[in-house]
Amino acid sequence: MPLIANSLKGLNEMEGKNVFVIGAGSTKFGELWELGIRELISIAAANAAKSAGVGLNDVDSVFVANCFSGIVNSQLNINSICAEELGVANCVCVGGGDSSGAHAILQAANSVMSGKSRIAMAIGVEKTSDLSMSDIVGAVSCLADHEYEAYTGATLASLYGMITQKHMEKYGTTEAQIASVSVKSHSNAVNNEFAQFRFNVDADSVMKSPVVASPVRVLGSAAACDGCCAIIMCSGEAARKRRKKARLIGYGTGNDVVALHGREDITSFRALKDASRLALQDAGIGIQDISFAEVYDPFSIAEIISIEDLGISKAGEGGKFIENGFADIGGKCPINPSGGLKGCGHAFAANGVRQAMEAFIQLNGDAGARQVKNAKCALASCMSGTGSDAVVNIFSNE
Amino acid sequence: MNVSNVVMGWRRIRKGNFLLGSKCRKCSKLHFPAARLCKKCGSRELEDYRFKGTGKIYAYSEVRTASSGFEKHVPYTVAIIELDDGPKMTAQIVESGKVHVGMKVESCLRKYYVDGDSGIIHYWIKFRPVG
Repeated sequence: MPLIANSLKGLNEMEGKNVFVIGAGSTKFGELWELGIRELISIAAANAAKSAGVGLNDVDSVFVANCFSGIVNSQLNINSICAEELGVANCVCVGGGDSSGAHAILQAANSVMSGKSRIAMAIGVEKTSDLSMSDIVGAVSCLADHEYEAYTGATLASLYGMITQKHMEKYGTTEAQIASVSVKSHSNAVNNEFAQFRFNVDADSVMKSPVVASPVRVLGSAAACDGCCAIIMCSGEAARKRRKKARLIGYGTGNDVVALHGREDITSFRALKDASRLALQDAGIGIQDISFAEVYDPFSIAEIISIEDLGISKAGEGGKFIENGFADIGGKCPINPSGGLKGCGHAFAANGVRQAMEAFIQLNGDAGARQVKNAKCALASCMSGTGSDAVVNIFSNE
Repeated sequence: MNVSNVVMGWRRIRKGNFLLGSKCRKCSKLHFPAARLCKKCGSRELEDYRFKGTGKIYAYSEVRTASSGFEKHVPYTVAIIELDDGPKMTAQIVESGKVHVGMKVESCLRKYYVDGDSGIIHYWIKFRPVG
């Protein structure tokens, strides 16, 4: 049967709909040789609790997202690892693809809204640097359809390569436009203390960097890294007296078939379109009300298509939007002021939580040199694999 | 480990046609891989359908950084093939010079990779240019 956009109740239809982020914390993202999965969890959770001004023993439940610990770290049962590290008895593992961090936020929000938790934590953790390059590429390709895509030697980069090829063919998107994504992301990451790649790149070096899978190049791909990020959530009542907070005002989810070849059109992400429509509807706002967006950019074309599917630009004009500087901090609609996956590093299950952390930081005016002026409303969109699953969360400081 | 039975099995399936999918008896929608539930109308009445194995390239990418098991084969080309019967599938392109979108191809049985020094050789469909 065709996949139908979910009809879950939106935040505005639920009792006790006020749910707030009151703190966020992270490890640095990168190749963190000296830290294992336990240390990553401990550091991010402690930083988040400190930021919220609560103790870990005040946290009623933890929703921990992770993609690859079974493959990379030979460690399953991450929820128990998390419980042991944090001393919190109610830890739930949110599995799935690289959007699982964003799903963990929804679960934490639901737990708060139902009244089950006074304070809930969403945490995303990934430890991938213990693998060799080919093993990483193999593990990551498991996010696609393993039996009918990865089995044939198709890597995630090659699948996004085909998406890129089709987008260029259909809309005339250029190599220079694709390169402008990396130039912008790196430039933003320079000012993000948690980012892995804090240096500028120019368009020429992006376009001359080695091909990973045509036409995708090394500097157009986000590098797999280690990282952990956590946010603390509570109800509106509990957040009332707090100075630093961001309200989750809308969320939406969407799905598509896992294999790219099973889709009618590969130049747009149906799951993302569904998720963003539901999230905006839930928040009762239009896309023009968004101050900035954090989007999923494992490969540059994903950011370009995300801009189009979210309705920030017209279909086919996402590349031009970035090339013209409209996505810069200070542009019409800043995209990935944090540096995105490309600038921060791609820590899979941690991405969705890292995006929410960026929303929290920006909406409270704490982003320093990368601050988006008058940031009032932030949209975070996260996907899995080649867009088989999408989550859109919208935060506001009003 | 005696793997010959496994490989013989694959060859036998090839004789029966490896590209076996399903067709909905209600709405005639073709599925590859075979489906248990029609993705168009939801019917459970599906029958086996043998694909002709011919089609054209819908999109492709040349892989230079491969997954473990495929490192020795780089560069190789993976593509989405639009089968003449309808559905699309992903496979490698072989016996070809320059590949282009719209190129006509046909299926053939080829080695994909080997499980270690003495493991099973994995065969499956690849596509080559027609003529």
